[in-house]
Amino acid sequence: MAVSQLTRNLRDGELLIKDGSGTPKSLTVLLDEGDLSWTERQKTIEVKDRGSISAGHLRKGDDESVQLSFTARWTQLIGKSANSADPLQLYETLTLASGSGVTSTSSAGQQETLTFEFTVVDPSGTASEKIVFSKVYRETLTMSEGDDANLIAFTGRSFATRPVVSRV
Amino acid sequence: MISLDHLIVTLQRHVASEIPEGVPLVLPGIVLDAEATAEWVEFSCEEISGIAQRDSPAERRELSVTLQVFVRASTHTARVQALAESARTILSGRLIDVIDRTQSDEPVIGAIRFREADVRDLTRIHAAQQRRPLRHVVITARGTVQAFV
Repeated sequence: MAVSQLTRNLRDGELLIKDGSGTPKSLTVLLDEGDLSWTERQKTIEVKDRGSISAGHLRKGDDESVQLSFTARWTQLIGKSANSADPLQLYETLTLASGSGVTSTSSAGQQETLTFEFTVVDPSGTASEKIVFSKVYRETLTMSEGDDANLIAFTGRSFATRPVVSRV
Repeated sequence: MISLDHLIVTLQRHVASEIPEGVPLVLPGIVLDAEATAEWVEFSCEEISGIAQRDSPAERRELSVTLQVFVRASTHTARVQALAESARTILSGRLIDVIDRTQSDEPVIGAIRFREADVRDLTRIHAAQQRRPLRHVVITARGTVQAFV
């Protein structure tokens, strides 16, 4: 039995972005702010009988995709797309920039997507977990300046009702 | 991760290499005979703070460095400001490579990036009545040290 009583915090997390290549290219998001957030929604249709709940019932509504977001400190925006010898950078990976070699995890003709793997390590070493978001498409990418650091803020959706959580 | 000794050695070497020629630099632990010296600069790194962050590489920390400039009063009334300006430019807005000199190839293992420095004149009002009046200006700079992966 592997159960951990320790609460996790931002220090335990690591976000990895993978693409759809045969041998997937991956990028560990370094210098991220530790503010990864995701929301799983469930739509329900309430059917009331002449306004009455007690006589009514519920039906499942449409599936809802998972909304997620994170922020990272901005080093350079492009690497491999400028020079093939340079390592991949976050911005060119998220935008699947030309020359970066990053390919979509969805078929041709569909919206470009990536896979996000978020690993949360158990500090006691018992119950570390990997949370995989598939078919993540970008909604907004906001770059902003700051006194301490310039930031890249990502918001997007995973085209699934929930991430896949597994023990590692 | 950048160890404290690499960090302090880097800072001390940087300040020592840029301090004006002939001005004594007092590092923590060094005793200076102030009676025989007309001016000197004291270095201290009094705070290295942690920042909430992931446990993964590219560790970041905040630090605060202070240079204290002491000049005996003389006919050159702005000497302390002139020396303080030299000291200010050593830190203000500077980017300093942290080098691991214990390794043969001396790799760059991180960088310290300073914000704009603050300057305060702490000369005491009654200093003019002292036997050997001392002018005292303090330069403080906060920065971020980042370890490279």
